Amino acid sequence: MPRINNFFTDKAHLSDEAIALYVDALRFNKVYHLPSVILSHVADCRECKMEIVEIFSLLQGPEIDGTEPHPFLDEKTAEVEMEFSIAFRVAAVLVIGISIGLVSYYFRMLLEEHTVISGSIDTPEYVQRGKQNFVPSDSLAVSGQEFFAENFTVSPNLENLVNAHSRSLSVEVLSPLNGENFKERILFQWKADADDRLTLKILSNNEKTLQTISVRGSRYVFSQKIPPGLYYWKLEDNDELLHLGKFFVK
Amino acid sequence: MTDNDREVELLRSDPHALLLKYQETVRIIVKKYIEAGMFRAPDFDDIVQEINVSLLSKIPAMQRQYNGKSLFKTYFSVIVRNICLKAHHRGQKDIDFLQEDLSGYFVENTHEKRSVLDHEVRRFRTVVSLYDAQRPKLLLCLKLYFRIPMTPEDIRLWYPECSGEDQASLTRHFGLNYDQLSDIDIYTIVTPIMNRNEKRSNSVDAMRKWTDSKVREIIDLLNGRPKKTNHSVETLRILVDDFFSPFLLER
Repeated sequence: MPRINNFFTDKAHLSDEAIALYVDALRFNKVYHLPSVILSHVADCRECKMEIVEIFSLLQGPEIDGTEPHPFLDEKTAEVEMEFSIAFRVAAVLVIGISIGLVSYYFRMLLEEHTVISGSIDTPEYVQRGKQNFVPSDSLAVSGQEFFAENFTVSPNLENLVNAHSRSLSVEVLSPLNGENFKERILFQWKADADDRLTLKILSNNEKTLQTISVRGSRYVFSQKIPPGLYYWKLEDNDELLHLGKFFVK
Repeated sequence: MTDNDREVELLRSDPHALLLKYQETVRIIVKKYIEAGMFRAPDFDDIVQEINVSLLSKIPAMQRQYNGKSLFKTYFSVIVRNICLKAHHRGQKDIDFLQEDLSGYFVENTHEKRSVLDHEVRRFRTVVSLYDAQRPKLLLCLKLYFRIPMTPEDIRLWYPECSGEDQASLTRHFGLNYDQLSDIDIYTIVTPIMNRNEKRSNSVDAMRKWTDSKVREIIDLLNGRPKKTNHSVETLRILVDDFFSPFLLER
């Protein structure tokens, strides 16, 4: 079966191995160790649900039961701990960086006798992009250069679903085009069979949902200021994925 | 090194030996499909042989595609199932596929039939678990669909921050017997509450359609592919009742 990464085929369904992984998670009672992209896909996909249920039923019974450590699900726990540890270190570095910045700012203000600092400010939104509130803070002047590149890194899981049309309701997306660049206002526009209210979600490249907007009609202009980076967006109908696309903010 | 690591290594270095090692798994899967009525018992050896021939041709693809994220045993079972499905489709015209009517199993209360019911209840639980974040809402809607009394726990699981007023309204309308309410009555009451808490604006009809589509989907998933049972709304009701039975310790 052709596929474009470990988890999805080019038809936007779970690969054989991902089906097997989900079944393992059910058997080991570790469903919540699965990547969220798999969980949300299966919740919406009847085909993949069917395959999982069938294989799970097939493997029930003592004949082909197994209890050995799992190569992914058990490793995942360790990874989560590692990620937490890394996140803690990054947070510590940031706190130190911000403190140094504030101290140097204070001394500069003393030396320059209250000269107004103007120009573009790289704010910590790069770091905090996963939070829902985009309102830029101008109280801190911290260099975000080291995080800049990270904001443009593709998400392998979401990337494979770009252009996926997984539900029965047909949607033709007019804007944004995949990979389109924006500076400020972003126009979302589509044509749908039905006139239902749809849910528009904007996600960061680390798969965090940043905004959830309920849209009546087939057009929405997003005019909040958001930091440069790669973003993904989903169009959903009652939690069912209709479309997944991506765009850049420069 | 775990058994799985050894099998991954064997897949790379000596896949034929791995296939030999997995002959018992192939035979168990074929037996299960014969029991399910997918193949005829006299065809057992032929089917095992056909699967092995197909597996041999799939070795390069398996070496390329399997990355060791799942247990090899499970991955191998997925591959064998795919081959079985193709064999079944090819031979479908010649096979009198067993169409069991499960409703008969639920009528009499024998041990054997209880065991079938247990199997179906387990399958139903597996199906429900696949809905991930939608699961609490789905369970709530199944209760409404089958007019099963709603508990504060159901509401808390669906939306932990549901206001006291909405909770009171739901339990007042659906906490006891509400068989007399029509679908329209039910969704007219529940839709604004769900919209308020989920920050949506679904119509009454959209909510009803959502629940109906999920019921149809669950029935399809219970029946399997290829279809092995004849579940209907009525047999689903039995499974849902059993699932929500207060005598079950684990849900």
